[in-house]
Amino acid sequence: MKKTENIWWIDKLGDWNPQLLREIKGRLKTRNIAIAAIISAIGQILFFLYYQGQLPSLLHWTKASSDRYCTGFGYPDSHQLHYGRKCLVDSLGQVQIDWQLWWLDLFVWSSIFGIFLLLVVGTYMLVADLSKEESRGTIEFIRMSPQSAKSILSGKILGVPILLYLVIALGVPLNFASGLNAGIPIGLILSFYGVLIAGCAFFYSAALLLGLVNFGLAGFKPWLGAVAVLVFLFVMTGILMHDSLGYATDWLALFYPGTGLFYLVDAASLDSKVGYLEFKDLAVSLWYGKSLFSNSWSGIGFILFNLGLWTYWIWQGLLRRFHNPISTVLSKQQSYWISGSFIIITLGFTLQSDNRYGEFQSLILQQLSLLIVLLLLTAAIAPHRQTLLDWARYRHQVSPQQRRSLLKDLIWGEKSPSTLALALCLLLTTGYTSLCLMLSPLAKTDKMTAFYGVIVSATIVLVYGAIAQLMLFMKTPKRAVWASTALGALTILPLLCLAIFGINPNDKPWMFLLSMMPMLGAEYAATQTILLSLLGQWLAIALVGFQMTKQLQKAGESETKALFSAR
Amino acid sequence: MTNELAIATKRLTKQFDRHIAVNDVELEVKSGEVYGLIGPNGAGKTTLIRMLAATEEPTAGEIYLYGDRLVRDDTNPRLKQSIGYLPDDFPLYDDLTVWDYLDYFARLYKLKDSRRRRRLYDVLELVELTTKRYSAISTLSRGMKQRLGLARTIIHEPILLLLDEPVSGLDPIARLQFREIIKALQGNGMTILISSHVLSDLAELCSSVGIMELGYLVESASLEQLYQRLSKQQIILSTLGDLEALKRELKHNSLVEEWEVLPEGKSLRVNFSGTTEESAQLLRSLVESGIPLTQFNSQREDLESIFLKLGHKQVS
Repeated sequence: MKKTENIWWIDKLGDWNPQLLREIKGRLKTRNIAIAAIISAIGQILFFLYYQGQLPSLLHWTKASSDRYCTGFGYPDSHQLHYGRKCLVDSLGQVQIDWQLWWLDLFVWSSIFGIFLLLVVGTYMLVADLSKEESRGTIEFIRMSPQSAKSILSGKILGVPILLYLVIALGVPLNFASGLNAGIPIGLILSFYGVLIAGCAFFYSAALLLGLVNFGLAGFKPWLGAVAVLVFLFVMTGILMHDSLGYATDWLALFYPGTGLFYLVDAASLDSKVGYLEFKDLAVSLWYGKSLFSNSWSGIGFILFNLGLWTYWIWQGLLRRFHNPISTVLSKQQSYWISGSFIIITLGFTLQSDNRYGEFQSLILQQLSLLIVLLLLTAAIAPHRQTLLDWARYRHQVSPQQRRSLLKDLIWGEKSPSTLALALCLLLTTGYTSLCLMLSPLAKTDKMTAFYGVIVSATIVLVYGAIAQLMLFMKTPKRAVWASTALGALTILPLLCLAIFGINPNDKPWMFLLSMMPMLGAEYAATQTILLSLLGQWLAIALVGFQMTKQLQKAGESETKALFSAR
Repeated sequence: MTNELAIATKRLTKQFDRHIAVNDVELEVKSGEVYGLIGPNGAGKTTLIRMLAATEEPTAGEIYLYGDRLVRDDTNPRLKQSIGYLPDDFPLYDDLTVWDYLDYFARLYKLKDSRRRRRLYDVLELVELTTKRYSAISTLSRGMKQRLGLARTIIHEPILLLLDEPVSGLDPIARLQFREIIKALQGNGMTILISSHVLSDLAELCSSVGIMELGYLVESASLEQLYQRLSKQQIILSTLGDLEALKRELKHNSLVEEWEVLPEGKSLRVNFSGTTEESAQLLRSLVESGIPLTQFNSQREDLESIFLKLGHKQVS
């Protein structure tokens, strides 16, 4: 009846990647394929009909009427061509239509729709699939097989969203044809598809990592992942459509596959008639003074490089985590490399001019993203409570060849607490930022202010990181949720209170020095105030560190006592 | 020495917070043995088996399988190829058919082409699921699912099988089928470690047993040694004549320790400390003294009585 095992290509596929074959067999059933095909067809027909409906028709034509797709002069202002042009009628009485623009609109919006569909739905599917395998325990059997993590996880990425791929693949002909009709060169369309595939690789790898990480909210994870991607895509689409580039946040545009569309729109040579994704907006973005985006190949190359780099780091976490679900997501050594890569790439987008106001704003955004990334990194290198307990108790039992000093263990060890490693990451990022500040075109006094701000920012991250590690050592099973809630409160509440009471950084700068954005306060605070706040923060770090050491010592001791009493 | 040992653990310990689930266990299982693990719920059997299957990381201590150190990462594909593990909840995929499920695992274990097809048919026949091979897994009964789980465990021809409570929740017929399959696998030379509460099953299958209590392995010996050491020989005697006359004769024999009258009133269960030859001697003397015996049945105390007698009832 269903002798699929006889079909040779299935056999070859299964030999190459058994996981992919398993996903295909579980999902590609006639009924599912039919549903996917119908959804894709109906979606495309509706999309096409909507744009057809946008065309000006003779029925409503008057001499004064104008439309985006008409071919006459701009109306009422000739510079705002994209708002509408005068409609002209040919000798046969037909309204003349700018078909190229119409096809371009169809191409761009179907592409953006495709990006949303692929990334949001695909992320949901992958997180949900992996969480299910994890909670039911079936993943244990896959882990036990001699297959590499790479083969299993790539099989998941290629196989789990297979029905989604089918929906998208059926939509490619329309998208491709509209791109060609819009006058975009084939090479650029294909390179956009390349960027999209790289974007999928990045977001899907991140989705797998989210699926493999347990933080006590298993049923909530797929929604968390999908909503996060959705919000990101919405914000980025908004930023790019409304020319808000030229800040430290430009780095985020490198993760948005739609950034590649700038070049495609530019290649259609419709200039100001388009009114969105205008190339001049992208070209303002500089990286270490270089205008990487002004050339399509260097721009697309940089986007691909950035996606590739971060996909690589996510895969390092995936490979570690797949075989040992209680290991930390990243090793301490990897965390140093990651903070290094992060600071080098993001700082390239900041400090690009001598405009003091712009530079500070840019640096504030950069420091904020650094804070978020470093807190995520803290979560990725903080060992499991059990691992810490075992480390505290059994460190002395390690064989003499593997034994190393406490300091080395804290810097490189797999099972040791993460606070010192976080401090090293901060040293790295602060060192590099200070160097760049020195070389930046800012005035000397501004450099000093920025430098103080960077130092206070780093200490505040360390305070948060130490608190996070302490909370992750709590006994309650929901410690990850507690730690994230506490950090959320610590970071957001102070700023929220300052905003509610209408306190400005120039009124009470010291208050801002203790918030998650100390750069805001550093701009107005006196040097003594900054030093005093630094002292306070170091005191807090020492206190949390002391508490942590005490708890670890107690954990080691009390178990020995428990062992004796058990015997 | 370790080469002939399928499993050897050195000071294996697993701790969950303050709770020590497995404590300093030194387990040794010889190659080709069927080793039964018994103990009350919560004694640490499942944790021990999970560590042996590399699905749980030991807190301290080491595991050696066939002399090679077992580490929990992807550096030991050969060792993974040699282990088959069936947990007590045997999760399956409901969206696949029986054939596709086994084919998937056969491919994960890198079985190629014709060998894979042959192995699939062999395994399906062994677990008696050949007729169900194109059925969706969701339509199978519990017993069939259990057998499919076992089929998945042995698809790659492992040499060491780790079975955690494999017969729990099965009806007597399904249990019998399962027992027969295990015997067949043992016949093929597999080393099998099996934990179970059904001690009569273990007594039938195992060559050695280990008893776990409070996370410790408190007893580990061959079944033969255990019987010799702890099991008393019992003889059931029935007579047509007077029971008192039989009792009088028994008093003359110094190897008879005590007896108990069985409910029907014409039979005795006698605890006898002699050898087989000495029990033959007793039979001869009873016949010669004119006791009309209808039954003289020599038997040993079963595993269940030994386990209960040892008093290992504490969970950790």
